[in-house]
Amino acid sequence: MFTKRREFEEADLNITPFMNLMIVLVPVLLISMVFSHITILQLNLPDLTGSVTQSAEKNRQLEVVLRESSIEVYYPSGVLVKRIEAKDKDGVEKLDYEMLSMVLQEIKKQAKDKSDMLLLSEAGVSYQSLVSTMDKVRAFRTITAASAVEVDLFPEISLGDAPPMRGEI
Amino acid sequence: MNESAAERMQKNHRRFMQPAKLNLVSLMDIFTILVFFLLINTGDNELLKNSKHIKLPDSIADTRPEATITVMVTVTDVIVDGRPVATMEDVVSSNGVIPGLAKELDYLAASRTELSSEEKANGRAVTILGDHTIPYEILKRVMMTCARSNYRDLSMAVTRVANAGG
Repeated sequence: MFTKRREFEEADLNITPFMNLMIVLVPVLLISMVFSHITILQLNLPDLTGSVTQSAEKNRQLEVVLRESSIEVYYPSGVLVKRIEAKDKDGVEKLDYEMLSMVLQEIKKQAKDKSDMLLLSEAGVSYQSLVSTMDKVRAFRTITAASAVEVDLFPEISLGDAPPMRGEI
Repeated sequence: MNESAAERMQKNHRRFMQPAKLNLVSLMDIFTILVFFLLINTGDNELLKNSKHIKLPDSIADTRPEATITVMVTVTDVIVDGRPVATMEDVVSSNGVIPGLAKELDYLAASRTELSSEEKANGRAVTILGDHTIPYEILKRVMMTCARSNYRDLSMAVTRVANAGG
C-alpha cells in the first residue's frame, strides 16, 4: 500500500515561505543596485613646505607632456623619445593612448626599477584626458595564460605644468 | 488501444478532479539567479553619491573610495561637502589659490586638529569629484589650494569602466 502511494503522488515541498522571501528580497536588492561603480585614483602631492632633495638617479626623470593635440614622452628629461600626434577617429581628434602605452612599455623595459614619472599638462587639457593618460601610465593590461593581468608601469605620478611647445619659445 | 470512449472519459475525469498543481521549479530557479545577480551588483558602500550635475571621467582604476572630505568641481561651482564655496568666476579670477575653498578647508582642518601618523606623513585626505570636461588649469588651482591647506592625500573620483577610452 505504501509503495503504491509513492508511485502515484509526487513529493510536495512547501515552497510558499521561500517564495515570500524571494518576493521581498528582489525589490530590496533592486533598489540598492548601483549601475556605475565609483572608484578613486590615488595621488600624493608633495609637501609644499618641505625641501626637495633628489639623488642623481632620481634626476633621470621620465616626463610625459600632455597637450591638447599630442602627447610627448621625454626620457631622461629634455630628450624627446616620441611625439604622439592625435589620431583622427570618426572625424574627432583623439589622443593616441594605445601608442603611449606601447612607448612607456619600451621605456619600462630599459628602466625596470623606475616607478616615478612626471605628467605635465597644458592648461586646456580636459580632466578626462588627464585621467585616461594616468590610467595608461600607471599600468598596462596584458593577457598571459588566458587571464588578463595588470602590470605596473610608473604608478608614482607627479603632476606639473607643460612647457611651451618647441618653436613657440 | 482497445479501451472504449467511456473508459477514457472516466479516466480523464478522475485526473481532472485532482487539485491543480503549479510547476514552480523554473520560477524558483529564476528567483535564485536574480537574487545572486542583484547581491553582486549592490552598492556595498555608497560613500560617494553620484551627482546629476557632474559626469565623472571614465577610468580603469579599481581602488575603493574612502570616507573623506569631498570637493566637487562642477562646470559652474566648487562645492565642499555639499556647501558651495566658490563659483567658477572666483576660480578663474583668482591667481592660483581659490580664497573661498581655502577658507572652508582651513575651517574644516581647524575643527579636527588631531592627526593620525599617516595623516602627518601624507597630509589630510580629500576626494576630488570633477566633471570630465573641466580643464587642467582649473583642476590645478583646486589641487594647489588643497595642498596649501595641507590636504595632500588626494583621491580623484572616477567612474569605473571595463575599458576606458579617450
